[in-house]
Amino acid sequence: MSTSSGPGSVRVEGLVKRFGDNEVLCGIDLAVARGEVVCVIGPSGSGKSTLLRCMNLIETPTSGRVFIDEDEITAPDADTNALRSRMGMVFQQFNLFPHMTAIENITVAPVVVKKVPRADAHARGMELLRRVGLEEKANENPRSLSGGQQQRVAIARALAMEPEVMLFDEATSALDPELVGDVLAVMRELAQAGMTMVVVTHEMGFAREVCDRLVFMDGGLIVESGLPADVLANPRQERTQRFLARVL
Amino acid sequence: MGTIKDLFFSWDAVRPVLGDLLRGFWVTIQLTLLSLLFAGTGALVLAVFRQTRTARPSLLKRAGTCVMRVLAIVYIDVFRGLPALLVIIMLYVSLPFTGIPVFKDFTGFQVAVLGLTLVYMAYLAEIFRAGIEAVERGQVEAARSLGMSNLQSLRKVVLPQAVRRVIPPLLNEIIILSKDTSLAGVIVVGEVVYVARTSQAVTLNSTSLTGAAVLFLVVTLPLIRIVDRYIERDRRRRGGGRVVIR
Ligand SMILES: Nc1ncnc2c1ncn2[C@@H]1O[C@H](COP(=O)(O)OP(=O)(O)O)[C@@H](O)[C@H]1O
Ligand SMILES: [Mg+2]
Repeated sequence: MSTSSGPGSVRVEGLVKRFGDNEVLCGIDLAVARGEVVCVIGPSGSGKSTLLRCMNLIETPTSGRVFIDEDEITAPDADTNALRSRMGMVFQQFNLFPHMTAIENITVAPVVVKKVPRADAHARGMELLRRVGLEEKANENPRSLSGGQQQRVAIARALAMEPEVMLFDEATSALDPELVGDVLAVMRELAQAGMTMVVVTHEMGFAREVCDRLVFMDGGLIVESGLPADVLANPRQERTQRFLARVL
Repeated sequence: MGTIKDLFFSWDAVRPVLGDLLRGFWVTIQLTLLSLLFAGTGALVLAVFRQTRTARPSLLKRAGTCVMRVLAIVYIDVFRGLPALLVIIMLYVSLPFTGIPVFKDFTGFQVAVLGLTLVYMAYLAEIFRAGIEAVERGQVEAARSLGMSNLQSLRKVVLPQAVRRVIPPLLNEIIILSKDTSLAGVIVVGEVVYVARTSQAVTLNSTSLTGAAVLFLVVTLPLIRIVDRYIERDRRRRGGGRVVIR
């Protein structure tokens, strides 16, 4: 990894997270270069979500450090809110704000956090909605959208803050199978546009075709990592082999 | 001894005190609205303190929020556990001797507002807290992941959603508060129940009490209907319904 630092890169060093006595992350090291797309796979409960949530401090790491570019988000005196806004996060359950329309969901953070003038935020929001193919749904309530549409609004919402990195936590796992494709298409387009991405997913096709590097996690550790084609076709670790045998 | 009709429904008996009753009811309304305003504002702050948890690494900040939370919990528990009547009487007999500026010169009316505020702040804080906690965790996580501060996510995301859930229990509490204003009568505040009772004692006719009852119902019944409507609407939105299985 020659470009493991620079704008848009993230780095995790010795990340440990315990919930009480339960050690969920047992020392994770991961460097994602600018523009790199890393997919994280692994069995349920292996700590994938916790890793993403620690990366933008939704969970407080027990120890270890997280950097975005050269700025340490885990530093005691870090401006957590500012650093957090440089990473977008997409959740399995979408978590759209139900009391706002689609476009309001997208404009609220730029207006409130970045003090972007309302009209500018709106214009940019409409552009993002167009990009995810939902321009005509701008004034709809999230409740009246399908799961796939909600998730695409959620992606647009995260992009509105112009993040340098996007974190996806099983963005398609809550969707009906026929709606998965539209969301993956948006993610694929984003990857091709050069966004730095960390994608927790069960979509092996997406992992194989889109990501630059595949990381397999089990029991709070990164067990194996490499080119997706290599890891999927010739897993070296026995735990990876067992997992892939079940999901492929 | 008159019949029930003469005793409780005599227009002749109530006519002379009608003005007094209406003035008393105006006092009742003022007690209700002022206590509601102060208690509601304080309760919002209490509720926020009560449920805030800071995960920031800064020890000082964490200790600060912890102290605020404990203080809020102690306050809420103590005042939920005390009768409003006792609080009002204790304030009434002790405030003049405390020497605290402004407070020592409080009128009975002001003491009543203070007492009701102290007690209802605790009740309302619990209602607000329930509303805040009913908002899904993922909502705050989404807001914070967009870079919003704790306060920004509270204002833009949590409170607007909490308000909707809070309206029915809040209206309920307002109904109870409006009735509890009659406690102010024990410290000789001329609210409507006090006025009605006094005139009953003078005229030996109970129609003034009936008048007070009617005045209360004029306000409380519509509120009760509104609460019911809200609950019904909420039930329908969640897809609930009467289950009939034959
Ligand atoms: N807030 C929490 N409190 C306690 N335990 C948690 C919490 N969040 C996650 N865990 C535990 O951490 C482990 C890993 O969870 P998670 O990161 O969600 O795994 P994955 O996303 O890989 O399925 C699980 O055993 C889960 O029970
Ligand atoms: Mg998960």
